Parts: sequence; structure tokens; C-alpha cells
Amino acid sequence: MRNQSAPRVLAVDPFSRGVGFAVVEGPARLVDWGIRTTGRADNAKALHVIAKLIDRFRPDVLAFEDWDSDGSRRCGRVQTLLDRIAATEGPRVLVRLITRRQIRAIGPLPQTSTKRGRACLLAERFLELQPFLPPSRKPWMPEDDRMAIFDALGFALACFPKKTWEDLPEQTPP
Amino acid sequence: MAHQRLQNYLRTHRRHHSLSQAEVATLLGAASGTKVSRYENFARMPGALTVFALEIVFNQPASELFAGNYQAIRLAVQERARSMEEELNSQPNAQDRTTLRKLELLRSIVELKPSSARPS
Repeated sequence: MRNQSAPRVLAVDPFSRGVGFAVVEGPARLVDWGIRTTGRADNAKALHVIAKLIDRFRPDVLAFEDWDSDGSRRCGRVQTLLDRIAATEGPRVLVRLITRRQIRAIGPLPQTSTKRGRACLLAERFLELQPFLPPSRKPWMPEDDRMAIFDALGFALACFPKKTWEDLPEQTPP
Repeated sequence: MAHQRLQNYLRTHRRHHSLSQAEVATLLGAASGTKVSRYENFARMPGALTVFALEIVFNQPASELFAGNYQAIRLAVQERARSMEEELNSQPNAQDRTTLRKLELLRSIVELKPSSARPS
């Protein structure tokens, strides 16, 4: 059967100038993705953006990075923001915090050990994301904003029961 | 557990095919992408002819493109069919051939499964 009963997961990944998001219904159906810019590092605007995304997609689960887990390297502002998202959105939607270990487990190692590797893996799986795949980053380059989409999609996929990458169902055409 | 689907998946299908709102509007015969934007943001429900056009553009049944709307309408119709069935059953001529035919139809509506279900 089609994923009639698959929960809808909205995953968000705040970055310095906005919020990246991805919405999936089950591990094989990508509903929407994108970036909402806030202009500058502004937690109030970012919270507003996330509230609007929740109103639009009415997700069953809201997923984002567990800023308190081992190896998480989010700055103080983003930590505060994630804390506030959990506090404000917790009462109306189930919140799932995804650790870096869970993120790495979405696909085969060693590809999933780096952001770039994960992004390439996800772009191979969800072909509509290929135009959003940022170019390889050089040491002197800042991180591309579009990487937040792939991070968010990783958080969303980490919410579903673990299967091997090969065992995952083929991407369902939308 | 059944989860409520989004009102429509026009944006998902459009982006899957890398089409812009203006391009979809052109295919629909609309002047600009504004209409498409309103459909995608659940601000407006397209008319029947536009729904047929969207079916053709995305090669998907309307029940899938407008899955949430379809789900809500199906439940409402099933509820009405259920009460109509109860009403007919309580009538003295409930064993008439015509009434039995109606009851058969109403029962099939009540037991209707989502038609957008298909093998993945």
C-alpha cells in the first residue's frame, strides 16, 4: 500500500541567515524542501518561520539536531534557538532530537561521516534535490546555505526505523 | 494509525518535475503563476476543469493530487451514506428491490477504501 499511514516529519536546520527545512512522509516520499531566510542571525524571526512551516505542513513529528549530544557543534545562538523551538512547539507537535550518531546511521559509512558525503547520497536518492547540491567546499569557503536542506532531510530520515540504505524502498514518485 | 494528508500535493509534484509556477500556469491556460501559488498554499481550491488539467499535467489522479481534500470529502460522504442507510433500514419497505439496490450502493460507499492506495 501507498504510505497512507506514514507520519509526516518536518525537519529544520537553522543556520546563520535562516532555516533549512525538509518534509517527508515516510522514508521514501519527499514532500517539500527549501530555505527560509531571515536576513541575519535572528532567533525571533527564525522561530516565526518555523511556526509558519508547522502551520502549513501540520507535521506529526518535528525533528532537529540534538544540540546537547556528543559532537554537536552548534553555536550558542542556535543552541538557544533549538531550546526555544522545543519549548514553544513541544506542546503542539511531537519533537524528536536527532544526535550526530543517528545522522551518520542514515546511510552506509564512510559516505555519511561527512556532510558533503551525506548530501551526495541524499541527492542520488532524491533526484529532485540534485540542483540544490552545493559545490565541494574548499577550506577557505563558508558553508553553503543549501547544505541546511540536506542536513534537515538527514534529520527527517533519521526519524524512521533503521534499515540499511539498500533495504529502503525506492523513492516513491510524489 | 492513519495520518491526515496535506490538502494537496501540487507543490510536491511541480517541484519533482522542476517546473515553475508560471510554467504550470501556462499549461493550465492561466495568465500568471499567482493562481498556482494560491492552490499550492491552500488559499484557493481549483475548479473541476482545472483539476482535470492538473491531472493531465502531472499524470496523477485527482484523489492523489488533492489527497487531503479527497480524504475529508470521502469521510463526509461516508458519514452521510451511513445515516441514509440507517434511515432506509428503518423504513417499512426496506425489503423492496429498489431499496435493496440503494442499500447495496450505500454499503459500498460506507466500506469504500481510499482509492489513491496503490502498490509502492
